[in-house]
Amino acid sequence: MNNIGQNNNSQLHVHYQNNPDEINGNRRPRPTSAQHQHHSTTSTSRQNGHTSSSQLNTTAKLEQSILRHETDNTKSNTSINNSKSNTSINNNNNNNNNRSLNSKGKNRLYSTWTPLQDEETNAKLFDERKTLVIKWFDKWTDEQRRFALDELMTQCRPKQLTFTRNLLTKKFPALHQDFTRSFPRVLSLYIFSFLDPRSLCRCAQVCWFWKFLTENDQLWMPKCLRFGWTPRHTPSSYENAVWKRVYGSNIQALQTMPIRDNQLYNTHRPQNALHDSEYDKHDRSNLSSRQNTNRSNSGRHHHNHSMLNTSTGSTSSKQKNIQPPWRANSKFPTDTLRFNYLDNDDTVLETLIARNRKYSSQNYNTSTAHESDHEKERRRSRTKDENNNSYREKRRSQSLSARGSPSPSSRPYHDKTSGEREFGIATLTGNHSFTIRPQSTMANRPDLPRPPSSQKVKYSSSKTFGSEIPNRNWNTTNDEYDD
Amino acid sequence: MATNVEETYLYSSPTTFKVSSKDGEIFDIDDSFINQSKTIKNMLNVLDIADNHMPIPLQNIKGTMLNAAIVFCKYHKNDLLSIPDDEDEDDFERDAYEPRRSDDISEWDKEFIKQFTVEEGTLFDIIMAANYLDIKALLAVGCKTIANMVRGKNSDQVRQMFNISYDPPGEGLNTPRNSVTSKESGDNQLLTTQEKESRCKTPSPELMYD
Repeated sequence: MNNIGQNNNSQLHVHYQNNPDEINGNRRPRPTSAQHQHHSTTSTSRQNGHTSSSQLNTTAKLEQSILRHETDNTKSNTSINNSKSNTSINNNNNNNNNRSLNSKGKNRLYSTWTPLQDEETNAKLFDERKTLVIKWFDKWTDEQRRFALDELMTQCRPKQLTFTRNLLTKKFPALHQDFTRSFPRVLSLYIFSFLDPRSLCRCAQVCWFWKFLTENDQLWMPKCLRFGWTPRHTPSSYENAVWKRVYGSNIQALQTMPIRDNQLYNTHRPQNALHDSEYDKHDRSNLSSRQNTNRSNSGRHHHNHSMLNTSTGSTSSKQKNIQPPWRANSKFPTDTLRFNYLDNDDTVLETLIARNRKYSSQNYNTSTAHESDHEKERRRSRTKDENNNSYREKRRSQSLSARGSPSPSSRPYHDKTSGEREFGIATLTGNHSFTIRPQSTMANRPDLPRPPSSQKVKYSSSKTFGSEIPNRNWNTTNDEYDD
Repeated sequence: MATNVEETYLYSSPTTFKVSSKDGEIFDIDDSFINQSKTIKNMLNVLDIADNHMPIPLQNIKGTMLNAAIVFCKYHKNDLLSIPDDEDEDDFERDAYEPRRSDDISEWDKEFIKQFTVEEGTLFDIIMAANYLDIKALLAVGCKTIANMVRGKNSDQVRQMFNISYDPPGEGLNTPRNSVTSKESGDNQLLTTQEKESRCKTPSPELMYD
């Protein structure tokens, strides 16, 4: 304690002597005559002499004691006040306690800052100076205080710095610690996984480490995949924030475009959007117009804008290709229940399509009007879209099959069961069946009917008695899932 | 190290064990704690501790945190089975990518977690303790609380809340090297003096932590 105090004093002394102009903001007028005093004790006491006369008294007595320290051994002092409080200043008339000096003290007798090695006198002296410093410190402005503290810190030894740091930590125990530094990364990511995208983006502004954490692909990938958004290309392992960028670009596109041109080919809307019937209609009309565009565009051109189908070419051709409603594509597309085209042989597919066209033209008469209408639309949309969209289909089936939701079945395309063709009708009449969530369970169950292959539509027109039984089967099972 | 041979219980039997925290406090834990803390469960499975009197040392956890965890587990001993498992892949009804909710903290948990604060760091301590003990429910409650704190705040508020130092580009430590001039602000003064020193000498290792 004494050591630090002396350090403070010496610091103050140096500060005062070297650059006296630094303390310009001191509100108290300072006598210039006191500036270059050799004994800064006297100078300090003179400066504040009008405030405390008792201090002047102490320092005067101290000086006296310096002069006659050798002869003062016999002077007795009964009132020993060891406390370093202000009482020592107030009572210091009686307190001039001069003891005998040891040899070390004699050597340093005339030193400026340790005039006496007498402990109690020194303590008193230190006390006095400390209170002076504190008094000055009180009068200073904030800027001056900072400056003084800064100077003090530069004067301190490392030991004293650690002491101050310990003091600070005692005063502010682990104040506001950053949890990302103390937690393992898993925990930090777990915390961030509760946040919404907006909060995550705000967190990314906090500091670089938070940015690194909140742009993690693990956080953003579920948010993207929930809406079926995938990056256009396979990111290299050195790219970061891939999924965040995907999310951002998609959201941006969603918000900037009017809903008419919102060509989100992605039929995979969030589930709650299904309740909004108007939104549904919009989406379906968009879907149909989208299919028009797909027809006109080449497949290669199409998958260039994989996330959103908005390019200048597509919009112009879209307006050209808008058909009257009786010729347009189905408003209730059934081809959202798709097959896994990856499993199909292309030649088989093409022959199927060709055959399908032929048979569908034949079967118009026999089927009922409602059914034929839907079938026609469905067939048209499928056959025309299949070529164009196969690449896109591939992508989506890949992205969706990972999540165990309406992924297309991996069954071969020409798998003939009697239930399949009835399934096609069932999906046609029940328009909303493509929104069934657990279709992958359906696809995995062998007893359930398969989605319609285009080849088998010809059977559906000529119903026999035997084919109605699986129809009933399908409807019952389908109702189960609809509920 | 008193060894009583007759006290050879399996851990599944309704018995209590003793655990000692970092600061030497000893707590009795019962089934509710053992079943929820996977760490303790595994430890008892593997170690086959039959001695009832020797406390299990948990050197990473303070006594207050351990006490709080035991209280939490005692309250939650009955709803152990209702906690949904995150690794459940067979549930097709569940949306795999549904955003996690953080507003489903029960009232008791809210009151419980209120005794921990960010300012004193106890909230982080309890989360670390829950992480170490592998108590899923407590970990979730703590993390959700922090997430709720972070949500809706801008970056300045977050920085202030967690005392994160940040120098905007071009200021403070990010000052361009060639433009170290006399800045009048006290904070910059300190940093520039540091930079001056670091340029004169070889950079001292203490600067790495700043």
